[in-house]
Amino acid sequence: MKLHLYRIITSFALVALIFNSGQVFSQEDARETVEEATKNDARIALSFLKDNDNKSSVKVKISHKDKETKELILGANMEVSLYINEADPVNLIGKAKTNNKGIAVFPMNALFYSIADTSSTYNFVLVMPENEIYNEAEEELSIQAAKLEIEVYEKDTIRYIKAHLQSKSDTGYVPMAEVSISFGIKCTFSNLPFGGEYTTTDEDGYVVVEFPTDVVGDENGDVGIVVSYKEDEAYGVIEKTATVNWAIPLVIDNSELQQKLWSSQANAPTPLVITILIVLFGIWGTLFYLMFDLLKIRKMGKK
Amino acid sequence: MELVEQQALINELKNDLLPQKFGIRGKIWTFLLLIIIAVGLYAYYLQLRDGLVVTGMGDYVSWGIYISNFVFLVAVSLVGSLITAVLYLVNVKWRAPLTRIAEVIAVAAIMFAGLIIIVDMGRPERMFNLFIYGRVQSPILWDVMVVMTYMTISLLLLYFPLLPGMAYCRDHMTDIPKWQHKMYKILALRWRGTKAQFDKVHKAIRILAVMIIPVALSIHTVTSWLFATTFRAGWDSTNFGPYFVSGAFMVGAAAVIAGMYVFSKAYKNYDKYITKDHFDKMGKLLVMLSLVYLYFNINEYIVPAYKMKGMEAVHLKELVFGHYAGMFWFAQIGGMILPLILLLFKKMRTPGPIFIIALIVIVAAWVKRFLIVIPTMLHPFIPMQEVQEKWMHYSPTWQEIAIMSASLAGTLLVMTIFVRFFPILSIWEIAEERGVDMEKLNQSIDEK
Repeated sequence: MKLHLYRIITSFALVALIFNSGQVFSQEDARETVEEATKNDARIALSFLKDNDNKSSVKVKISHKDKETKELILGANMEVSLYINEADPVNLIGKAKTNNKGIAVFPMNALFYSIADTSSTYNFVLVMPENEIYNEAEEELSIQAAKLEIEVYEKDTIRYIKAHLQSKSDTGYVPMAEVSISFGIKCTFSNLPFGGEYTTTDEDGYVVVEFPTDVVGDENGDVGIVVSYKEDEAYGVIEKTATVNWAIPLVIDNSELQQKLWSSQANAPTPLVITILIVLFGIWGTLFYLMFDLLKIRKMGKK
Repeated sequence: MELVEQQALINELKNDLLPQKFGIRGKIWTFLLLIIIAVGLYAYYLQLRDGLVVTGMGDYVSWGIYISNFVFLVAVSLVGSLITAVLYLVNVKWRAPLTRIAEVIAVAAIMFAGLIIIVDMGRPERMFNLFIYGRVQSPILWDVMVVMTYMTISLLLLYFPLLPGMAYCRDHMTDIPKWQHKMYKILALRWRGTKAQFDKVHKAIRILAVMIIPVALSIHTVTSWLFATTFRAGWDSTNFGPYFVSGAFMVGAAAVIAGMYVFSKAYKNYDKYITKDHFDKMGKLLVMLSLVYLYFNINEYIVPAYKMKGMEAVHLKELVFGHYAGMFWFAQIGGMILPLILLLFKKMRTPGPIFIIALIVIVAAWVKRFLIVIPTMLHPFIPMQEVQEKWMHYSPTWQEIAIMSASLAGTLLVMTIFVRFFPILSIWEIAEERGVDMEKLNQSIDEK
């Protein structure tokens, strides 16, 4: 009887233990599954830019596709770190937080420029630690160093822009032949392309285009030129700009801006100003006359 | 009427109508108003300290209840021109006891209308930039000019007829502190009631009565243009000027009726001068004004409702059936249809019922201004990008409500203080209405 009771208690304890442990495991599993289900794998887009002053920067854009709606969601306020060569603290270029469009821009630091002086390729590593929205993510970008030079000149009353593109190798710079270069005029929101469809470099890496004669510039005839080589995958974007005094000066017809309801204070329509002044002086003149009458009433009260 | 009888009537009027000290009810009323104002001032201190972020306003609703209240107060102030000027110029005799009530309401309301505009500015010290950099083409500048002009005319129209009253206070109120006597002495401008002085007062009232009508029409028309000159659903209307003016006359007349009732109940003997006949006539006037307002309301809603164009349709549906339907129907029925029907019955034009109707009209008028400002702001033609969800809705914060309530309490406090120190019913105008020749009477007193 004693043994029987012992067996019953032991069996019950064992079942309870197994059942209970199973329950604990299953709760943890469930939590993990829910977390995994709610987190996303980030889409990371990296691009390299070398500007007019040979200053370089790396732009990162984070996003993901919503699992249910399939809409593209931008990864705003995400903390990201950029390294050169490998993700080691000594190779850190910088840390940043993405803006509301999921974009962060890393200007290159002294570490990059010291490496760039001696190396012809750079390898960037972007690391985003795990956060509430995304799983941990890492993305690499490998860039081949290159340089773009431009020259503006005039010959026989025709104006030209000459671009020279070279790629860096272990032995020095070598011309990049048969690659397309973009020529544009700087406008408010984008660039106005010129130079035709075929602006590819020759075997020495040169391309020359004619500046159009019908471009309107600012009031002095100045206009900004943007020459760029856009090969994101291997070279990033290399851009050169110059300002030339080759455009047709912009003539602003001031008469168009004058005397309108929406003009500035100084250009208010004269009839309106006159009307308002007549009304104001008429009414306030009468009011001052009546105020003066109050003084007269007081004077009349003298015995 | 013999001179002796005239003198007796004047004495009776002075006994009945010179200002009296407040009783316990008057003191409690004033204290309550001061508490509301104190809370409002604290809320305004918070707004000055932290900025307009303490309000419920945002990118969508940048004009909240401050501007609704501004439009309401401007509307109320218009009554000064109706009772004092229009009824004066058409020689309506029964208006005499009501003119000062109307003018005090006008002055108090326009003062706080001006103040609430400054409150609406996050940086009130920049008000002066409006005069330095303001564009003469902008209705906002016109509005500031016309508010200042209307306030000055209203003050003069209050002050000129008050001169004989000040003199009565100076000469006949003996049991008063020295400062109060000195105040009457300064403000009475040595008034002796000579023919020349009366001539000046009569002439000034005539000029001001003529001048205040176009200015009063301008003030509310220009206020309506602040909305109508913008291209927005609910505001893009050529009907807005007369629509605003007719609504203003209606709420102003209701305010005068409410004032008449309160003053006739607060002071004994006032009901001798503000009679049932006055309530009856004001009731009829309110019916006429309701009809005019109804006409402009029909124009305002039926024409866009017939076309149901894009955002106008969304805006109208929101008003008539949507989120604001309760407020909309209260404003239309309570503020226009109900008074129009009820006041056709003589019994409803007696003091008690007409007072309640007037209060409903006033509350409905405030709600109406809220409906003019807010729903339109929530329906821009081009929805803004990347705006926080909460900015697409509007509910005023406690600070806004406290400041707005303080402006209304301030309006009532100005009227309360006026009643405490000055005759709210014009003694000499009532005397003239009852056949007293003030100039002759004063001449005979001088000769004696």
